[in-house]
Parts: sequence; C-alpha cells; structure tokens
Amino acid sequence: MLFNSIGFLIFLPIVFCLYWFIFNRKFQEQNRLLLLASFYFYACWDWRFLFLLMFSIGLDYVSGIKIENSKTNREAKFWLTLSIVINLGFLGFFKYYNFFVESFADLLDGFGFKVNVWLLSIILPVGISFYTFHGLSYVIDVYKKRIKAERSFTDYAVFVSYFPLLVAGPIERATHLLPQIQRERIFNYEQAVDGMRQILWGFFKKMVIADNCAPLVNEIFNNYQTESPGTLVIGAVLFAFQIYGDFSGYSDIALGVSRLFGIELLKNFAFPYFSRDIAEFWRRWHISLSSWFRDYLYIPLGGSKGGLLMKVRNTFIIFLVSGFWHGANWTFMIWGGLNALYFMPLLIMNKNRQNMEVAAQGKFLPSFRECVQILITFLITCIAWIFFRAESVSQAIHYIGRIFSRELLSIPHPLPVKVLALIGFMMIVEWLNREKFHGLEIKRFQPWIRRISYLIVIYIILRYANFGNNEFIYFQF
Amino acid sequence: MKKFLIKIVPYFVAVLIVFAILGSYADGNTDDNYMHFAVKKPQNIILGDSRGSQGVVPGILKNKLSANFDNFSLNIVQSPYGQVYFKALKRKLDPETKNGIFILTVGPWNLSLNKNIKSEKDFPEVHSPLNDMYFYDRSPNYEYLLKHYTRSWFKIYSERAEAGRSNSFLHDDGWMEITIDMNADSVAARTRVKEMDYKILANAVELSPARLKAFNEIINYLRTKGSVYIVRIPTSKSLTTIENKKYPHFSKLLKDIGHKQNVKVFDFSKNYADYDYTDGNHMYKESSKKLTAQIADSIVMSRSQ
Repeated sequence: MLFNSIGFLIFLPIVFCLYWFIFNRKFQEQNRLLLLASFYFYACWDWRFLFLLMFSIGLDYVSGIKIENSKTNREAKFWLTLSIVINLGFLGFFKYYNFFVESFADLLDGFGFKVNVWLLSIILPVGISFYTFHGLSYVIDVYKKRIKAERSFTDYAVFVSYFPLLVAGPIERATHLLPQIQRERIFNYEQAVDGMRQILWGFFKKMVIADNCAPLVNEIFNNYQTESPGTLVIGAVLFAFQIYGDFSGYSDIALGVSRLFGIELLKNFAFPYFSRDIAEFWRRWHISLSSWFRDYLYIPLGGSKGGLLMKVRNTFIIFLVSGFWHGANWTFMIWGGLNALYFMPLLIMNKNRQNMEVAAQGKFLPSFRECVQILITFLITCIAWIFFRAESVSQAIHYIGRIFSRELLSIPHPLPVKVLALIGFMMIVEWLNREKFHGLEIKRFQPWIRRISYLIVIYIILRYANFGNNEFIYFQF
Repeated sequence: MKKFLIKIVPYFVAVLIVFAILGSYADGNTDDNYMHFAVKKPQNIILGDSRGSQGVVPGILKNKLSANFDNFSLNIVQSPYGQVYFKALKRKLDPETKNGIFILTVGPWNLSLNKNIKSEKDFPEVHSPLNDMYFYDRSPNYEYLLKHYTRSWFKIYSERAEAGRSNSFLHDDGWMEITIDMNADSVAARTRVKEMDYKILANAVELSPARLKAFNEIINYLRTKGSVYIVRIPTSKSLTTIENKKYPHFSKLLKDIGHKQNVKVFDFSKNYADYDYTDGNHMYKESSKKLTAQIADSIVMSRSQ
C-alpha cells in the first residue's frame, strides 16, 4: 500500500479509530492491532512476501532469546552468526544474486571463458533492506547486552513490521522503538496535530516536488545525448530535489503517521540541502541509515581510534557499503565512493565536525561565506546524484562530460519555471523552519496564520500535485 | 481526542467539497475515456479500438437508424477483444436491451497479442479502466476520476469543454472527435510514424486464440440481445499493405466467423482510397461520417433482405 493512495487514506483513519477508540484499554491490544494492520499493509503490496517478513521476524525473535539464554559466549555467537548469515543471505539472494553472478560471468568473459549464467527473474521484496536492518540491529544489541531479548512476540513483531516504517524506513533501533511499544500510549493532542502538519508537508514534498520533477528528470536523462549542457544541469538539479522530495517526503509522512499513534520514530532528514560541507550533509541525509552504519559497521571496524589511515579506510568502507546497500549496481558504488572522496579533505584536516549547528543559526539570512559553502556542497552532491540516477556508469560519465562544455551557461530550453518556483517555495519554507523538527512545524505562530498556511499548502497540493500512483523511489531499495 | 477530531475534520470536509465541485466539471475534455463511464447505459453499442472510436459516429447512425448509439471503443491497448472487454460490455450495456444493434469494429490488431504473452493476467488490457470499474453510468463518475484521473483535479475545471476544446474531444455518445492539421505534409509525417509503429507491431504480435474466442463469445452474448454486425474499418493504403502482408487471410477469417455466427460482415478495407486519414491509421472526422453513413445504409439494406 502506498501512502499516496486512496487505499491508505481509508486504511489510516480506520486503524486510527480502532487504535484509540476500540483497542485503547490495554497497550497490548493496540500492539496486536498494529501488527495486524502492518501485515495487511504489507500484504496489499504482495501477500506472498509476507511469509518472508514473518520468517525474518521469527528468526530474529528466537535468535534474540537464544542469545540471551546462552550459557557460553560461543553459543551466543553461534545464534548471532546464524541470524546475521540468514538475514544477509536472504538480502543477498534477492537483491545481489544477479549482480554477483553477472559480474562473475563478465570477469570470466574477460579471461576468455564464456559461461551461461542462471539469473533470477523475481522481484525484490519491498522493504527487505529495511526490515533486515531492523532485525540485525536487534540481535546485535542483544548480543552486546545493550538490551534485553524481547519475550513478547507481538511486541517484537510490531517493532520490525510497524507499518509507517516497514517499507522505506526510517531504520529504527530496538533501543528506541521497543520501549515505546512496551508502554502505554496516551493520546497527545500537540503530538497528533504536529504529526498531521508533518504528514501534510510530506505529501507536499512527495506529490508536488518529487512527482513534478520526475517526468522532467526522466525526459532529460533518457535524452541526455541530445540535450544541451544547461538542460543537463537542470536535470541533475531536479533529480536532487526529486529524490529529496520523494524520500524526505516519505519519511515525513511515516513520522507524522506514527505520531498519530503516539510513537515517535527516528528523524531521518534535517534539511540536508542547507549543509555547508559534505560531513554535515551526511549528518542530515538519511540519518537513520548513516547512524546505523556508524554504530554497526564503522565503530566495530575501529571507528576513528586507529589513526588517520584507519579513519580513511573505515570511511571508504561505510560509504561503499552504503552505496551497495542502495542497489546492486556499480553506479551506486561509485556514488558512495565519490561521497567518500568528498569527505576526505574534511577528514584529513579534521574539520568534519566543524558545522554541527544549522546554517545561520538564530539569524534570518546566511552569511556570504555560508551561501558559497551551501552552494558548493549542493553542487558536488548533484554531481554524485548523477551516478545515483544514471542507468549505467558510462551513462553517468557521458552525462557529466557533456555538462562541461562551452554551452554550459546557456539557458536550458524549455526552462521548467513552474517546478522551479515550487522548489523555491519549498526551500523558503524549509529555510524558515530549519531549526525545527520538520518543514511545517509552525506551532509558534498565531492560529490564523497557521490555518492560512495549511490552506495554502493544501491548495498547492490539490492544484499542482501529480495524483498518479507514483511509487516512492526508496521502495526499490 | 475530541478537540483533535474537531480541528482536523473540517479540513478533510473542505478538501472533499473541493474535489466534489471540481469533479462535477468532468466532461469529454477531461481525458480520452471519461465519458465512456459517465452516460446512461446504452441499448445499441459500437465496440472496437481507436479506429472504431474515431471512425464510427453515433450521431449519424441515430439519424439513419432512429436509435441512440453509444460508441464504447477505447483503444488498442485498453479495449482489444478479450475477457476484460467482454466483462466491461456486460456492465456497460443496458440490462433491459432486447432489440439492440451492435456494431463490432474489428481489425487484425485488436484480435492479436504479443507473442511473448502467455498468460491472461499479462494481457495489456489488464491495466485498462475496463478491468476495474464498477460504475459505468454515473455523472459525475467519481469512481473513474479517483481511480484513473492522475492530474490535478483543477485541470478538470480549467480544461473543460466550455473553456476551449483540445484536439481530442470525447462526445457524450462516445465518438472521439479529433481536430488536427490536415495539411498533406503533416498527414504524411504522422503516417510515416504510424507505418513504423505498425511494422514493429506486426513483428511482435500474432492472432490470438484467446481473443478470437472472446470475440465469438461477445457475438454469442450480443445475439441474444439484438443484431450483431461486424465491420472492418479501412485504413490508408500503406497501413492496409502492412496488414495484408501480415494477415493475408484476415477478411476471409471475418467472413467465416460471420458465416458460423450468422451475423453480417461489412468489410470496407478494400475501399481505403475513398477516405481521408489523420495518420494513415485513423479516419479523419469527415470521412468517419461518410463511412458511418455507409455502415448505416448497409445495416438498413441487410435488414430489408
């Protein structure tokens, strides 16, 4: 089920009413309702893969208890390894099997051996990357004794399959979400109203920004060989906003929906396009994934403790793994590698934590220096996004190669003025609220200003949104 | 909770009212299919693909046959003959129909299928509105708009018929009127594109037993409710050549079906030179009126025999 579907607009109020009016006597009843609703939500996409999700939940649930009950460290390690191997095995099988087999065949072909490979023709189970990471973080945390193994199967299953975050995150931690699932939730008016604002802003970003950018981006990337350099620049910039609108819009809806049920999810975006360097960008973009890799990969690898060389190596590893997590394609690996390269000067000069606060904190406008920094960070990010969007590495290289020609500064034709104006509107609103939790957090204003603001955003959505059931980009990851 | 619901509900109600008002302006300019789902259920119907949709004018039939017709032809992807179209026809047709007149326009392509498609769940029309619509006679038809109108609903208002017709306008009776530059050069350019498309199509498809079966089932069904006429609509010389090369015995196949089912077949494909086409494939509106008059005359003649 898609957030921007009629089905969801019916599903959500029903679950909301059942949750607060019928199942409100005990939080365990609410959890059972959430579990059923989550399974239904997932089954609407493809009920067959529901069994895979259930297996993953069952495996990690049992592994967690076995790890905790282990009498020896060896036994605990066995269950941890079993869980990791099976989880990553499923992920690898569905997501990376074809990539590895094809790459291996290409390698052999390079040595003159022709092999016929057997490729899978099955679709990727939606959300597998997300719920696998939920499960992994849980068993690792139990093994590391950061949390107790969860004994209630329902509570654990809700943690993994909670429908707002099930298919595209944010990637939750058991330490953060499970305690909320295990305690009574009391309806909080302020939280619910702000959740609605966040949902509204999420729909704006998805349906107005991302879905209006998408056809233009597709047109430009599909015809990059004939488009002018100016148009290619516009294509890359529009894609940057498409993926931002799409994914941060999804996250806003997910967080907002969850707040309606009295559960706070991890923040996933913090206005990343106002970042002044790439380190700040990565602290603000897909935060739940970046911090997951930091806690479960970067730190176990030694983190920043082993000197500069170790830091460089580990940074490259997490960016490359992050790229690979996004998809079995060399384009994602290069995207990750490129970001790691951008990171190096900051790492080497030990300046990767110089911009910890938001840009122009407490001020209305940024300084000239901040403007330049924000612009440069955005531009290098756009170059990396070209690899993320391109079908192949050669397409990305040609695309970038064609940009840097003498006609670079020519005016693209046709200039998508309407879309750029909508992006401008989004950026102004987000700039004004960059110190807040989300783009439409306007509870500090007078009620009449708030109401007018909602009506303006609702009007823009109705007027300019694309109502086709466009899937979210991150569903494919 | 009460305060929350009181605050939130008016916004939803306001949005619903805006949608309801905008949807009420939906008409033949909304998209190429809307009016098929927003008129009274007909007793006399025209079936087929876009050739039929543009080529048969119900208004002319009404004058000649004194009966109201509805052209229920969509396009080659959405309404080829098959179980989806058959199911939709049953919903569309007035259940009280007794002495209806049913014109089934047919060409080789709406009885063909891509060679690689083996299962009916992969047929292209599975994604057609014909496959998921329940209401066919609601005006405004919010079911259709919610399920199949993917643009901003404000465009329903700003692009409605009174605001200026676009080059395609779906009349209430289902006739798709195309207004297009008929300058010889533009026609030739569009025809070249169509030729290319159909050459590619000819390599990809073959006559489908499943479609032929459904076609026969539709005829069987309609025969219980009135008279059925099979019409092969002509196309330009170049398109006819492609068709005849790919399917040299298609006209004979239609005759055989007509013979077996005891229904009349009017094959106009040899008279292609008598008409003008917008792109080689679809008939220009003036020629459509001419062809429709000939179909009506043929029906009248066959009834008097």
